[in-house]
Amino acid sequence: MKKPRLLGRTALTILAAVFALAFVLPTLLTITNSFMTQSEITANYGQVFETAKDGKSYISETINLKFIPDKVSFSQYITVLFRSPDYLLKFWNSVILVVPIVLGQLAVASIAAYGFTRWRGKVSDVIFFSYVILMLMPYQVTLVPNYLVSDWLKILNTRWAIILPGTFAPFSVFLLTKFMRRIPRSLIEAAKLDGSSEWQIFKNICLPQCRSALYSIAILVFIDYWNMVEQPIILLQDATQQPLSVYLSTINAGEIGIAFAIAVIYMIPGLLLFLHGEEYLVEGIAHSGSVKG
Amino acid sequence: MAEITLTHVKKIYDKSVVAVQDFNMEIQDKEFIVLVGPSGCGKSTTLRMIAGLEEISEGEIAIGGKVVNRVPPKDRDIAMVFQDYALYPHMTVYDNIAYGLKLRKFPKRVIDQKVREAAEILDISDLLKRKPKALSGGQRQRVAIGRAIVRSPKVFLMDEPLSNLDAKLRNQMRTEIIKLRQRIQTTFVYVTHDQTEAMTLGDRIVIMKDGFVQQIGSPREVFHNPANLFVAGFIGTPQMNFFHCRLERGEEYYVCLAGRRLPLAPEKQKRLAAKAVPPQEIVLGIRPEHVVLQDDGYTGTVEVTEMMGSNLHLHVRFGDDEAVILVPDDEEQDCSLALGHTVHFTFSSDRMHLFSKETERNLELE
Repeated sequence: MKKPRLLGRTALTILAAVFALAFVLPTLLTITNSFMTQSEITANYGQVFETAKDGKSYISETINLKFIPDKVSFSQYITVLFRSPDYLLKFWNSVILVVPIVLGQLAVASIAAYGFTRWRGKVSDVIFFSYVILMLMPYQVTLVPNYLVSDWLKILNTRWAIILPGTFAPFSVFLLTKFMRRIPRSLIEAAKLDGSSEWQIFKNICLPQCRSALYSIAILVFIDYWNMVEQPIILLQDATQQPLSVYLSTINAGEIGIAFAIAVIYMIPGLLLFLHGEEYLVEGIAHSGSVKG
Repeated sequence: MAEITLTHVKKIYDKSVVAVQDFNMEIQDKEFIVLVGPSGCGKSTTLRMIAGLEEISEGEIAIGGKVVNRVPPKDRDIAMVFQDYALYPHMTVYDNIAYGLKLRKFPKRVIDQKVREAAEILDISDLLKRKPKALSGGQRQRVAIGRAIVRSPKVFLMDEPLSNLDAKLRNQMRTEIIKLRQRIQTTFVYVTHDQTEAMTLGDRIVIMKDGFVQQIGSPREVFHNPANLFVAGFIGTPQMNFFHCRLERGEEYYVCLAGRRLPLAPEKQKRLAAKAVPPQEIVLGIRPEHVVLQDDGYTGTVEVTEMMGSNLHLHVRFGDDEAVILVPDDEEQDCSLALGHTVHFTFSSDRMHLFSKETERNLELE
């Protein structure tokens, strides 16, 4: 009986390793290739893009996937960080779009979630239910209404067209409400008896206990908006305001080496945030999902 | 002065579920009142209405002569210990105790002094830097009490504070609460479902059932003169024995049970006569400790023997009825009280309680 079980476990481990490798390889390729010289990059990938320019095919038989650079070079990074401020400007564009969205969503979601937690009734349940429905809709469904409302508010083609809808996104409200509803009622009542005002209960009692949920939301929202492409393309026509995510998707043949370096720089904030808050992320999602109202 | 007056207090949930019905009581300053009853009887709701955590549907609550129906909890000058302790998990023990004082803008020096005093009283001085999750149940309980006493409130409310502790710790904490009460001299309202806690702690006990107050009285009063069948059955361990029988009156009142006449003590005769209680079907109540082994009494068979340490609980079958008899532990006598043995017993004539079968009320008090 032991042998088949061991075999099954080995097979599963191999399968898991294959999947893990499939996920890790593109990232690994990006990181190692970012340290290659421009000539090595051109030798490896140039053919692919030449073919594409002719409009025949993206895939070239001569593509040469290479993981280890012949010679480690920082020239791509030097170009990105010191010689061409355009890339840094795109990076900054991403930052000034995403940071207000993350902070705004945390503020709006925590206040809304507190409201949904403290004042439960038919009206608030209906509003909460509509939040859930909104959350289930893909972004593409609300894109046109967003466009029309932005136009109506005269914020189209400004950063506010992305920041405002991002700040009021329903997912974080849902997640945080589920989390806050797990806080024992007696804790809030004890705070009341201790002399807390509603604001003090929110600030001193509820928020500190939602630290993991807030961290999870911050990470998820950051990653979501750091990688956004459709919103800036449709709502921000001014190319100088476009974030790095859009730039990365429009990279062309001559810049492929730089694209690797930019991609690595682009990954760093999300990665740092994730590594720093991994524990909170797991805890926050696990607790919010354990649906105990 | 912190007397509490509840006048025709009523609580109705969702316009139909009555949790508390016409609660009337005057709690004296520095009195220790225990609200006791089974789950869902309305005891916690009553406490929460006093605290201001639950709105009052009808009636009036006054603390220190001032009606507080519309006064928010923080302005009622009360403190409460919750069943789950409700300690703020992200704060240290020190901050938990100090939080209420900080909100009331006490100077830092005063806060520190009061926190350390409370910690000393409760013997938790060495725990002040810990977070609640690093404390045992008993320690958490002490911190919760510390948080309440540090503000020197007019009224101290406790909602089943010992129910999450194990039996040994519960007994220990019960004693601590008695000592604390002697030390801080304030008005206490304490909720429990445990009648032992109620009997040992309360100056007066309020026994509740289905939202109605069944009886208010001192522990001795409710134990010896239960107002109705429910109180008689609820108070006292082991539970009171009940027998369906008949109250008859010849020259004197007597009870007919299992073909025998049981005479009643002269005081009971007087009370029944004064109320001109007619002969009727009744429920006779007698506590196990008032059933005495006697050769010319009823004959029964021992079905279960429970050794409780200093005494034995005998479950005796006689006819269609079963009686529990409490006898002191005696090694020589124990052999004759073993399973299957026959015992003879009767009831103390001055300890019998007579309840109307129809109203379930005590005929002597009705």
